[in-house]
Amino acid sequence: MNPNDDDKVLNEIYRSGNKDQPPEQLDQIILQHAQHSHATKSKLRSWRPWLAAASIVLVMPIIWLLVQNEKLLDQAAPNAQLTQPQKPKPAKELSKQEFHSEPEPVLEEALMAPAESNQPAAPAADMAVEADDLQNMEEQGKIAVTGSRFKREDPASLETESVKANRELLMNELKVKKKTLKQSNLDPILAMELQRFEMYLEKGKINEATQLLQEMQEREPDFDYSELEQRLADAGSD
Amino acid sequence: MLENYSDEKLMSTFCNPQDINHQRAFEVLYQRHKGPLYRFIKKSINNEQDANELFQDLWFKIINNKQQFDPNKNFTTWAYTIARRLLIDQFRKLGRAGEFTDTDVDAVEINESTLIKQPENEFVAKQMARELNNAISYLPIQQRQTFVMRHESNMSLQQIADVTGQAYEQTKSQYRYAVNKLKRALERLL
Repeated sequence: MNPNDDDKVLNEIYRSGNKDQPPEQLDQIILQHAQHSHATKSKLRSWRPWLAAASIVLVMPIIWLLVQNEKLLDQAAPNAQLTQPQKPKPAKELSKQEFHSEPEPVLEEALMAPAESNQPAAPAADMAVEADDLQNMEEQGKIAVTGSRFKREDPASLETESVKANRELLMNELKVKKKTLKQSNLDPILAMELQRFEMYLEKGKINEATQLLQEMQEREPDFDYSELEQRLADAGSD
Repeated sequence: MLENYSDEKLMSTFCNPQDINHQRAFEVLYQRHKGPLYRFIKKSINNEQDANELFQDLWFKIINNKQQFDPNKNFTTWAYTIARRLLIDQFRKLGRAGEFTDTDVDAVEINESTLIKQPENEFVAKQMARELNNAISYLPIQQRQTFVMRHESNMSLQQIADVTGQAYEQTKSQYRYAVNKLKRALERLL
């Protein structure tokens, strides 16, 4: 006998006395786990198309909302530019532009301010440059010396006319924005005051009518009182 | 047909859920290895309840990490490596981690001339089996595991060395020490 024979005998003795097996309950648990491990993955795999579809359904409205928002922002941007008040231009630039182009409409704030404040505070050096420019341009035949040009030499009168024109424009704009004095627009108090105004006009009480109109204008400035003013003026002239 | 498959081929079949035989492949593999692995754990830890828990953990790990198994490597070696790691963790929890690092080479005289005779009858065979199991339980853990791996799963000493991460020569020595101790235990019955 050699050591290998020993191994064989030991092996036989060992195997004859060692036949323990795990409990059957444990077998079931392990086999079920093996089956379940695939089932879990198969379930996930079968859900994949649905998950993809669901994610698209969720994401698409978000993208659509973002696109819409961008469009709205794009639309809002030009409007914002239009409503943004223009910065006052430097005196030199202003004076040059006036030679080259039509007078620009003056802004609301500028119109409301006294005429003197709109005057460009051109320094002496700039005035000299302006004179030189004018001379050069006249020589090149680019501008014609007209009445308006001569008027420009008197800045105060030019400004007054310009301001007047722009004020009219602005008033027209404001008129458009204001509400008309229709019965449907009026609240009961204003309607009663309007009736009183009519009565004063009929009776020739111009002062009372004027006072009442002022009160109405102060209290309800959103309405357009130009018609009443006209009628009051007519009644006054009569 | 699956019964003729190698362990590695059974694992590959089990890993492929598209294969209609994947669950059956696992069942064959489990039937083949459940006994040896269960006894390896039970003999290592000497506690049936802990052995049951560790055995379940072992197979759950095999199932959950099936994709990490390399079909070019030996399944038995892989499974015993996992089992041994679980045992080391368990020994740590029990505060017995030192047993794994013990290099028990107590002076057991290696006397190759002492031979084990075949048991004369069934009664003696049973007595010898009982005595052998008793002697195995007294072996140091490294020697015990080496002996059990060798006789439960017919593993080569090199495969055992791969599982334990030891040098071949060291594994060979451990095995010889274990065999000699067991021979001595059985001599009394002869």
